[in-house]
Amino acid sequence: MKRPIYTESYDGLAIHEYKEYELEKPSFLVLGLPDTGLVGPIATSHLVRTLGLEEIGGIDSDRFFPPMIVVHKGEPRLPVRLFAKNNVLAMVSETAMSPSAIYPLSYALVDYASKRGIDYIVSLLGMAVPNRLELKKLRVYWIANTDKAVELGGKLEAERFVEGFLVGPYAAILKEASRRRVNNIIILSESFPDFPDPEAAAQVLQALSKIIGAEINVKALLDEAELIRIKTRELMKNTRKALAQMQKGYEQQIPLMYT
Amino acid sequence: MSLIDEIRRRIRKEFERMEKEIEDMFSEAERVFGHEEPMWDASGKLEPLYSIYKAPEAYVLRFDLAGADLGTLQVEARGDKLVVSCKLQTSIKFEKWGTIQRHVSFSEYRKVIPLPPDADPANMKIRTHDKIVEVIIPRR
Repeated sequence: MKRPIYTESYDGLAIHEYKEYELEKPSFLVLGLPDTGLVGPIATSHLVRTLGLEEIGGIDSDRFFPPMIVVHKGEPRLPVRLFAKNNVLAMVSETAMSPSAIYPLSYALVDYASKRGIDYIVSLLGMAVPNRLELKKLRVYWIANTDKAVELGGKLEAERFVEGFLVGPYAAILKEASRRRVNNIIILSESFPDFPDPEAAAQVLQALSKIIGAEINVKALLDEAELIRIKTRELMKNTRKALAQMQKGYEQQIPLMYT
Repeated sequence: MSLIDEIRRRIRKEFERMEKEIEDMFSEAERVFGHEEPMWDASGKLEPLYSIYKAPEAYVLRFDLAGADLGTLQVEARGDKLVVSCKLQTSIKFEKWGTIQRHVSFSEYRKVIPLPPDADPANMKIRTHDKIVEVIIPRR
């Protein structure tokens, strides 16, 4: 396990850095937390691999995470890891987040982004659509919390999400980012509600490439889509349980649109 | 607020507290025990992800059979259970992996699901799209 050279400590959570890193401007923190369709973890994992991001840190908690490590190529690592290169810092989580971890993690991530001078937090996720089976072309939407983030959203060549509920970790992060005046943009693709959706992950990556200034080739992601679906079954199953506890079903509810 | 209203409020609050305590207890049990069942077995079978929707006229079950050879798909009602099985197009092999740390390969999906009493599997319909299998079972 890599030893941290610097640790930012929060109440029950720690963000470790294994090495010094600097991001170019404008800088982006891209989040890959397990949510609908596992779009975030699948997309950020592909982003790390395709752009060759380097592992520079990880997030751990003795209160909110299970006592867990993940072993890759013989080396023990944290299940929530940070990767960086050029203007992108990416967070990839290989474990489902328990509801009790969401608010502390949101606070820690937004505070860390603020201290590191990150220009935009970008959240990638799926938007559950019941008729996903019939959809050939998936639509991409965005939600932004500040004028600067709205301006960025306009460059995505996607539609603005106009009405509806958002439930889960990314909702908590957006609320915290708004409170701290940190720019946060959420990029959503239509996706399967209950199954991993690499095709949806490819859609959000193509939108992301328009704002980070780097081409993200999604061919390998689409070619390996079925293998990814097989390998992520357990993470999807655990994520479904966690999201159900967060009342994810609210997203299917029509909001009161008159106020 | 009258005394009766106050008593009602306190009773409601106590019920909410108890409800939350029970929910937390189940959540903890789920957290501790629920993740331990693997979705595979060492004989080479994978458990597919699936979902069930209860529509007014039918139950709609969807199975993610990524990597499957749908020509070998079998969906059968056996008593009060639905048995879904399908071979993979090619076996998936892991060399040193997980709790096994030995060569393991998977060649088939298999899932057995108990059917609700009002399900009518004799008239079920099956459709597939991109290795997602949808089984529509009418309700009696």
